[in-house]
Amino acid sequence: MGVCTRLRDLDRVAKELGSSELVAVIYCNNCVRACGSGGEAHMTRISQELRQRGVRIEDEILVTNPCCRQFMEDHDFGGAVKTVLLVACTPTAYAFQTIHPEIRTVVALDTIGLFINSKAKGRVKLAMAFPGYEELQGKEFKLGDASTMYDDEQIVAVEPTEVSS
Amino acid sequence: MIIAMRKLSYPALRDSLDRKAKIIVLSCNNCARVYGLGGRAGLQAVADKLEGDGFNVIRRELIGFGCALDLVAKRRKDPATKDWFDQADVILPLACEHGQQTIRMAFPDKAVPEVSKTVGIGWWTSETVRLTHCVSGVDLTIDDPQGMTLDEAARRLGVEPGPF
Repeated sequence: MGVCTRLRDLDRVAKELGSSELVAVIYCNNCVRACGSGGEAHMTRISQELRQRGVRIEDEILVTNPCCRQFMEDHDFGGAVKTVLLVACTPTAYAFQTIHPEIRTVVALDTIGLFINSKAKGRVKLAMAFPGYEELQGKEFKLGDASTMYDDEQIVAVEPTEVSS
Repeated sequence: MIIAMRKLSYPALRDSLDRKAKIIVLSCNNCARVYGLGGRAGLQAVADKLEGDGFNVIRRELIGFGCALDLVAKRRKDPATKDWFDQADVILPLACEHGQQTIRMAFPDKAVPEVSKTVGIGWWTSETVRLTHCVSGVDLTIDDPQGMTLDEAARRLGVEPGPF
């Protein structure tokens, strides 16, 4: 766990995918679960919403950990699929393109930063941000729903201490 | 996966530690296993070196996710680990900066050396790890569409990849 993502606007995603080509959707089932941006719990809904927007989804594949490229290497898309939608963080698209450079990739998530999480507090905290999302650094979100941000901050960071005595 | 690198060489780490201190080496076994700083191999590497140099390593602890605060904090209360963590002076984190941070949160009374620098995220196979995106504040341009090897990234950033 650790990469904080948010689901992009599905109208825009659908527009990028178009309605002429068959699409396979690869769903990550790792960090995205903590952010509520994908994973097993959301794949049916996301696919359905994309279909309603005209996207021709041929296949939906749940992958435990697609940033490990080997988890994606065994999938044969059979030549019919020309585009893959990755409901995963951006590096997975880089990994996928090294396996299938002939397939166009679209990423459904914005990768905004790195989080720490507390199940007990029901929160994730954006500990580091990627360029463009710096204003969110230090903010906390609902565990399982990174679109819900809390204005207060309850997970208290601790400064480093001296080691040697 | 998150990618972090070592800010310290082994001699620098060794020189920063007190030989009388009771040390727990606590390693993340998720991303840190992949980028090499931690996992079983990274944990064994540094613990063996420290013991060989006369340091008092009282426990080697592996944790599934160093970024999960509850998992780290559980070590303070769990009967299997409580006594060890109570008596420790130093918890040496083999994890990204977030792992270091969660250890400091869970154990504010312990010294937690600043070992790693989180540089970004990437993808991996059993043969390679590639850095594709840097976090804000890390000044590194990645031109290769497959991402950058950790050796190259470390060279450019002036840090060290892999285990101690």
